[in-house]
Amino acid sequence: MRYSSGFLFFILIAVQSVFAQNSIEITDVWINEAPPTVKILAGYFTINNHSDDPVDLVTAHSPSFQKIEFHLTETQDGVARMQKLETISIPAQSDFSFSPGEYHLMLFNPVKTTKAGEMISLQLTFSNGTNIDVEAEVKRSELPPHHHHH
Amino acid sequence: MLLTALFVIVCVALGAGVGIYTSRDYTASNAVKPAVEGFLWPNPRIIQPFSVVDQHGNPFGLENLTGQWSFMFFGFTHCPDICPITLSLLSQVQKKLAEQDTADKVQIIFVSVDPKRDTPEQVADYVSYFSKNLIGLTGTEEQIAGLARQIGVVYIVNDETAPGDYSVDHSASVFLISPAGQWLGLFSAPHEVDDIINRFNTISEYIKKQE
Repeated sequence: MRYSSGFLFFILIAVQSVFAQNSIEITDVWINEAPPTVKILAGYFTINNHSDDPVDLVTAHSPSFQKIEFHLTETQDGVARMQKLETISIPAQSDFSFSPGEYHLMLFNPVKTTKAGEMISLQLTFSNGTNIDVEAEVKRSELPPHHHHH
Repeated sequence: MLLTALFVIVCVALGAGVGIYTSRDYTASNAVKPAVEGFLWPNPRIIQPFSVVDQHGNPFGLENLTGQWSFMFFGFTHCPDICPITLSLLSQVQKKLAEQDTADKVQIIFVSVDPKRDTPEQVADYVSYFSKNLIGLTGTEEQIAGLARQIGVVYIVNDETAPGDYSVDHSASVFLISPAGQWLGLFSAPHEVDDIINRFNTISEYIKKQE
């Protein structure tokens, strides 16, 4: 009763913003190591949207690459085709995975040769203004996950 | 005591006889075409002579396919997702098959469907990353198109999005060619190492019985 409504409002906002920071989580981040002459690499991760609102992944940046795009490998009638996507929509309370043979980050023109074991900084920007910095480990090609893991 | 021992010996001998009989019977029934997905029997296509170059710039043709099994994958070195995954997987297939107690010789072949950018040097750097045993092929656009056509491989070179920057849509399948130069297997994506090995073993066993 001693607290003013203004103070309570401040607390509420503070709690909400802390919650917003944790509402999107990035897990299982890795970049597929490529032969040294290859100038396009692929990156993978999972976005966990814990919030009650859908959110879009709008951009990705890295000091280690000139440009990053979102791509989807689609295989239709046995033919694999890469499709560029402007944004990636993640519904409320759900996970979205970038994984080999499906959605992937296209990492163009590395500033230097990336080797397995290195950590690459990535910044992911979402439509609600959230920026998330992650460290992606460069790993030697992994096989597509077995379907029973899904 | 002696009688008991004799009885046991007779039983064992009979049992072995039944075993041999059963296994023979099994072999006979196994001669029926096995139900393997992508097994192109009884009408495999015979590969006709063709001419491309390998990663060292040496000519490569039909004679380099005969006498051993070939797993072929068509892709391009600027492909970041499905090509490296498939080549890593096929390198593992080759390694596992080599550990198998079999006389089958197996080669893994990457064919570039982007010969404009994929020079023999570029292909050499690319394939050697996955395995020193991998063979990489390129050539003129006509040569690659000719080989692809024989196996029904579809690929589409897309328009440039920036100078020198374009993507190629291509078959995600793995093609199995027999030591007699017959296109025998079409393995569709997504691929798994053990699944490819099992299918290959069944097919090669069956083909041996046909000879």
